[in-house]
Amino acid sequence: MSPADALTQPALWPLSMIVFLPALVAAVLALPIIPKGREELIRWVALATTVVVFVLSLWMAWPTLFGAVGPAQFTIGEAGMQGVVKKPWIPAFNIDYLLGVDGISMPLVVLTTFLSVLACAASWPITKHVKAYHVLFLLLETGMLGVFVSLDFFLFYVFWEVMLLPMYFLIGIWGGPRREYAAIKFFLYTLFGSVLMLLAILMLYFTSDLRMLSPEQLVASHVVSPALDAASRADAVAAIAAAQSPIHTFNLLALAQLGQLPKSPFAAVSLWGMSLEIWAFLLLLIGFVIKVPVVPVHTWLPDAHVEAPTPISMILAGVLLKLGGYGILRICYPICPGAGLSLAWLVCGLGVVSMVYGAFAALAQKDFKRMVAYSSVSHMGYVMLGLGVWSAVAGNEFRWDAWAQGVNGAMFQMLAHGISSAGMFFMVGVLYDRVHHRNLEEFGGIFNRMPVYSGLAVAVFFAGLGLPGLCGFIGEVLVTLSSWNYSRTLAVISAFTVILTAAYILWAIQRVYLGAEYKGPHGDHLTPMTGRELAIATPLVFLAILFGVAPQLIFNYVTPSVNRQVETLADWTRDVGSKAAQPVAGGPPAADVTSR
Amino acid sequence: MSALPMIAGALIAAPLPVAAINWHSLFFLLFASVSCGFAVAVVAADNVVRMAFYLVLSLGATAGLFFLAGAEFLGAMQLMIYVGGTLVLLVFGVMLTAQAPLVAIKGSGRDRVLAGIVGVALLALLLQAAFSVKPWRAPAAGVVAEPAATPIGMSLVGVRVDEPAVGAPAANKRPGYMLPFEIVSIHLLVVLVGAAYLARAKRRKVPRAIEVAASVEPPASVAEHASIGRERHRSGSVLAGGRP
Amino acid sequence: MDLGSLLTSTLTDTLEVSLPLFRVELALSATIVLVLLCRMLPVLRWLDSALVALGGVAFALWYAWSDLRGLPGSPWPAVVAATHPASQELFGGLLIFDSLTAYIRFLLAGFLVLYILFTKISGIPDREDGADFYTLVLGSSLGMCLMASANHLLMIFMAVEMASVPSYALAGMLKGRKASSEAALKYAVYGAGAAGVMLYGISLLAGVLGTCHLPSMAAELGRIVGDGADSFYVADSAGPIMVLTLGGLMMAVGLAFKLSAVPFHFWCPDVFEGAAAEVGAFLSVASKAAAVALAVRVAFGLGWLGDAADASAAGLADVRHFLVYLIGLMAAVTCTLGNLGAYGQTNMKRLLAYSTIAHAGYLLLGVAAAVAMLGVDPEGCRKAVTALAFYLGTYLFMNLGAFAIVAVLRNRLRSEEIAAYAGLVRSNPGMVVAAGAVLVSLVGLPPLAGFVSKFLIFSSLVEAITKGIERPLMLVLLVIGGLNTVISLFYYLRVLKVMTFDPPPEDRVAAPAPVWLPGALVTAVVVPVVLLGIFWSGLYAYAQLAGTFAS
Repeated sequence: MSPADALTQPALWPLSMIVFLPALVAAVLALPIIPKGREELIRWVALATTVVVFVLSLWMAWPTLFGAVGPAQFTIGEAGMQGVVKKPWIPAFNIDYLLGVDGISMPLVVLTTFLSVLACAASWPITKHVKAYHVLFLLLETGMLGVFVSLDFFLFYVFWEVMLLPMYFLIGIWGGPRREYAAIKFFLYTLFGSVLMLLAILMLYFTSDLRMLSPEQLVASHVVSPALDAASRADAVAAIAAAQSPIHTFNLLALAQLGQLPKSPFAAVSLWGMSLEIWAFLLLLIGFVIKVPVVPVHTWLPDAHVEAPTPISMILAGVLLKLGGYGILRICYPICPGAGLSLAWLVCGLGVVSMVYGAFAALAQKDFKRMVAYSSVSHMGYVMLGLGVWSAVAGNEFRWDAWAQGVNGAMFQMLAHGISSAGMFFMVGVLYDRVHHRNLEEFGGIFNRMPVYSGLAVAVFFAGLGLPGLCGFIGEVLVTLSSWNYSRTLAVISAFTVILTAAYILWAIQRVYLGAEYKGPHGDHLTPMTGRELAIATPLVFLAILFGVAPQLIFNYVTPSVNRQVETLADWTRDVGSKAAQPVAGGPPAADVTSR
Repeated sequence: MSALPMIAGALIAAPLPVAAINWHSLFFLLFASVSCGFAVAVVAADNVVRMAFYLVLSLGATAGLFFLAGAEFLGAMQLMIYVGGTLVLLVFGVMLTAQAPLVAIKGSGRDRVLAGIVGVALLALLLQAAFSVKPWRAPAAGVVAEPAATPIGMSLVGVRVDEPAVGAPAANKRPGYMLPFEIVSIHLLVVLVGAAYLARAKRRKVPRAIEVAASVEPPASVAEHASIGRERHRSGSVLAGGRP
Repeated sequence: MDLGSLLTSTLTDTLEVSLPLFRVELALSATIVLVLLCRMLPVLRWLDSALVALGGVAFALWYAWSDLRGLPGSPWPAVVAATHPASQELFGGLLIFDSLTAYIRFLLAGFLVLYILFTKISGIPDREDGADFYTLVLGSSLGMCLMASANHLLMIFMAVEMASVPSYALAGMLKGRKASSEAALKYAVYGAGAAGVMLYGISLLAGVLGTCHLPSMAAELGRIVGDGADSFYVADSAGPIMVLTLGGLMMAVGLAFKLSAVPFHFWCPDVFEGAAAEVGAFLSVASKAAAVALAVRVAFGLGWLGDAADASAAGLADVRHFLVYLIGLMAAVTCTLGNLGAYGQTNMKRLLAYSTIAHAGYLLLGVAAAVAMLGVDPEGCRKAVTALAFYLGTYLFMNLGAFAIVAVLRNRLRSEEIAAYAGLVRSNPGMVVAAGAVLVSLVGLPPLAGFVSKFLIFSSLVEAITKGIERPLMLVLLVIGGLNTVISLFYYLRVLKVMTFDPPPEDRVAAPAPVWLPGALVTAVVVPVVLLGIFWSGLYAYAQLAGTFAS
């Protein structure tokens, strides 16, 4: 790295290392230099890699923990994109290697690296083809981290697809009895969504035109690097303005600026009656809701979650589902605000349908893991509702404080669900490792046999239930409150869903942990939790309680960026989107959201 | 062939008004009916040897059509290459390989109907196409006096000595045909090598790698799988590439 | 003009203009003669014909590379002193030398070098058959070079025949096997029929338009179709439209046969299954590349007059409209039926044959986009041709890799059935990783080269859509292309699944002593598939050079 880069792009090595270190280690592990039989070594190397990446991400996100605060690290309270890394990659198509983090993606990156550490530790019981397993696992981690930090649409798409193949093999080789079916179903669903995404990406690319942006917007979206001196900045801006033909771009920030222009180029083209903006929003939405997942494209999830091995279920539920929500938040709404406004009913409706359907389906399950899988569907419904209530116009005024509350709630719900669902899957896995069945009818009396485990498990399940004081409560309550202004009906339904959630979780707890004695198969294998399992479960429970009691820790990161984005879109709605609406005077101060 | 009209004319010149008969049309009708009739006979015949013979007659009549159109070079080539070369080869091949089961070839009724439909449709299309171009409907102006062989020969060496067609745009290029002439020779060389390879006897000094490989049976599990696959293919539809 | 001046002009044109730009084909011809001489003279019999062929092809590659770099607009300095003109008609208009010619020749020469190395390593052909095999391959490649530069109907037909007939013999190389002879016979009969129909169409076109030279035909066509002006042969212009359409469709039959486009693809699975894997590699890569180039030549030659804007321009717009719909329809049907046909296959080579058909469909999508934007949007047309050229470049490595893996596994496992690959990851993990890279690249998933190729083709279609050029058709083609990518996942992944998930059969023949050369070959061919998916600016620059002729 040249000295110039050290000044202008201080986050180049940290961010690139966070994303690519797992892939590099995977490449080294894949070479035939490690002799067969040294499986412990492979496990420790993989675990060490995930820990190093976790520590790196903590170093970036929580600088005060390590003492000095340098330029590469995240500044809490700042709303814009930080640590932007830009290197030209394919000049012919204006594709750059563009990375950056803000309040929305930083917590998700830390969540990913944290859950990867836990999942790697939970992979100890995997005994067949250990090397291949860990190579694929590390490749998967690179893909996930790359999606969260990339700011170039092409790069985003490449990382999005990179995750698919390792996941296919991880489910298909190390999974349960129906693993092949589950793996191919997962792959086909996700690839279908990805191809639709690719069409939308191309449509947005070819209708974008950088000449429409003002110099300030060009610098703000890092098309022209803000680290340059004023003269070269002016030159670059002039070069763009003077171009004869449209300059297309994949830069997500620039596309967002273009989409929010009064005369957005995306709204100008019309195909078969609907504007390109609406087409792009729909195609991207389909691609992302397949990942969220949302009813009716959720059917891959129960199979994939149930058949995958425990650590992969943790990653699937903890991280992969969040990619869909992140995509909608980062891409769909900023680039296609008009479509977001018109189709708010669709997003909210899908969210509520998922919530209710997932809860009812979870109630009906006899397989423990399948019940947890459907609970994931239900919880992610809250995320959709919180994001959709964004474009809410109630009556003659739109309340952007309700928007902000909804989106903050959705973000918190994503993080909290990551912790609680990973925990729930891990707890189910601990039990399955011992008794080799997941039939809810045949459990009972686990509290007597494994008290420590049961205590931790019940805590995690209560977090999933949304008990006040635990992390699951905050997100649900904020989303429900925020939807009140948008639609009373949806708010009431989502409040009622809490009852359903409580029903299936409490019933499961009763069937599994309470009761007099365990009458199912392999009862003699119910040994207490090992040290490794305790080391995985305890941080999850601790964080569930911590974030439930002190949600401010997360909101400090999330709220500035979310509020800035919501405020920008509120201004857009006032100026462009909805002429009849008037904004609520003032709007709440940024840090006040959680005090309701 | 060109002596025939003169002999016929001499024989019947006295009683019949010779000048009234359009000899050109008469011979055109003769050659055309021989050509088409024996072509139908090729398709309708059962015996392979007879098919070959009818083909000889049909192609010979086509040569006559070429002569009538004034393309003597083409007519001569037709006789030399098709009748003299290809067909003799075909007849030899039929003679050497026509065993008892192959002497009679019968198509099934369904095949005949299908082929008939396709053939008639194509004929209708081509007739419509041919008649829709006006200048093709007028009869030929007559036999061109100057021989065509010299310009063809010169153009094969690369020099176009023939006159450009009447009314053709001046910008039209008229390339010499030396390149095709030379390239065809290389093509023939390559094809001869290929034909010689295919026709050569199978005895080899050293068995081929694939023969060594093929002599070892594939594992039983694989062979079973392969035969199941082939069964499925046998019943597959033509559209999917399965053998019908 | 008198005979003397005619002779002089012919000599000048041949020696000074045409032959210097014809060096690649001359090198290939000389190599054929040398290979045959080697086998003929007893004193030279010790020389392996593969080495002679390799040397000759290396020369051809050098010439092709210097031709490519000498083009105007090339970002690299010319290797030889003089640079070439942008576009030059050779031999009086029979051939044309421009950026597309140079690129395809370069691609073919490079492929031949890799291919000869591949056949030497995989063992078919062995030394005894080598001379015949390489003669046929080189003869066919000569025809393919001509296909890429054809500018005259006679040359189109000649080139197609030159490329096809040696491959009939190549398909029947394995003389002892019934499947091989059956494949050769099917191929020959089908090819002869297709050639006959194509020739009929050519004769109809030549008869109506009065000339066989493509640009002159285009001018004539524009006059007839456009404003119904009296063309010099035809007094009444309504009639010929039907004959021209018929002639064009019949000519398309021959081109579709070469491209293995539906519904003239029936020879493809049987030939690929019966012939050796090496021959399959040659047919699927080189033959397809040349066929796509020929399709572009014919479409561009008949549909566009370059910068000359005269009265024929409006008529040519109608011709292009017809061509776009014809090619687009063929593309849509080809990639769909190719992908669907692959679902039930149990033989790896048959599956690769259907995969070849499907990829021909994707390539035709790019051709349709290029013809749609031809004359209307030069920039977009250039980018569409660039996409095609890039696709052919990556397709070379992908398919050569696939067939190389099939050949190596055939030598080790004695079988080409997919079921024989079960559990291969236990004993040959490297080969499975390579096969995985190639198969996933054929699906079109990032970060591999196949994704970039598909991305470029789709981006050409989207560019046409956003500029409002043939919007309904381009939208339909885009959706069909995307859906086909999804459905193709299943059968490619099934092979990978068998290799990794399924347990190995107990009666598997033990692999012979490990030989590093096949592994090195497979690595050398598969590594570009991965690298080109990430660092694709280099190949893109070359492909951009190929696209410059369309302006």
